Amino acid sequence: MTRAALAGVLLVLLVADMAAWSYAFSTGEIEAGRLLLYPDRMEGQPLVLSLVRVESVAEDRYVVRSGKQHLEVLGDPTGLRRGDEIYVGGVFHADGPRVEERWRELAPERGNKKLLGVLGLLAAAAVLPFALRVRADGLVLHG
Amino acid sequence: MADMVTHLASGLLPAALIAPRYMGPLAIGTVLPDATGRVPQMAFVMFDVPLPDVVLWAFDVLHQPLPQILCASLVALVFARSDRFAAWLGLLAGVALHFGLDVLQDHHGQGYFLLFPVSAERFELGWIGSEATVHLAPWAGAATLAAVAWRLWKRRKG
Repeated sequence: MTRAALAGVLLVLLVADMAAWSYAFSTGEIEAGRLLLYPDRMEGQPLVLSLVRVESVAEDRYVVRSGKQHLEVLGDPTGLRRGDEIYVGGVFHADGPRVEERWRELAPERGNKKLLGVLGLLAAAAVLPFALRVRADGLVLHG
Repeated sequence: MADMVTHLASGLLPAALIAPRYMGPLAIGTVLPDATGRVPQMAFVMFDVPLPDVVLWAFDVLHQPLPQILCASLVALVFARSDRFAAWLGLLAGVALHFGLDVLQDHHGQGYFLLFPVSAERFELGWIGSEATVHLAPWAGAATLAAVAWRLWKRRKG
């Protein structure tokens, strides 16, 4: 099988897997899809919002953002600031939609982690010229 | 996900010390799941690119083992035939190290879809916090830098 044909087969399999994921998301099999597309099915369900960003803070509630979805969280926002990233555990209500907070945990190192993400990518790119050689028929390993 | 410096160090440090031929594939493999499955999603949100949530969430699938085997196989095709299998093994080892490190973390039950599309169950061991590696990263990065520098010095000398 030629390189192009093999690449074609791999791409088809990758797209098929993405299609399966999109299907699971759109039918609500994946919780994030349920939350976004079928909030009624989540009524009264316990849930954990993972690493959501605080968008605004009011007296007895705050708004978090997951992807582009905004959710109101009913709970004491003491200690929270806009831009914080947190885990929230609570009970979901479709009207709003809103979450009744049961617990939350701040993720104070998220900013540093993102910075390390950029550094890691740059470092990986910087290593490649020392670890690989370009030849007419493709890359070769250079130990 | 653990931080990217620790991910990179988990593959590059041992490669520089004992298997320098695999430094390239391991460097790529250890960052590949985040580079394809997380970075685009985070960048789209950060720069407010007008994409619907359904499209944004679609990138999540790329941070799973099966698509990463396919991605690693695609990347391996860029290598010359003589080195392709070795590169593929190195890439897969890097991807495996990535998920091995990620699954150690605790996201309060919001773990990784390791078996999708066979199962939509989420998995995590919850042994370390999701940001625990941030404090390890400078040391891991420095040790890796020293090991790579030593390897390059040895190569130039010999």
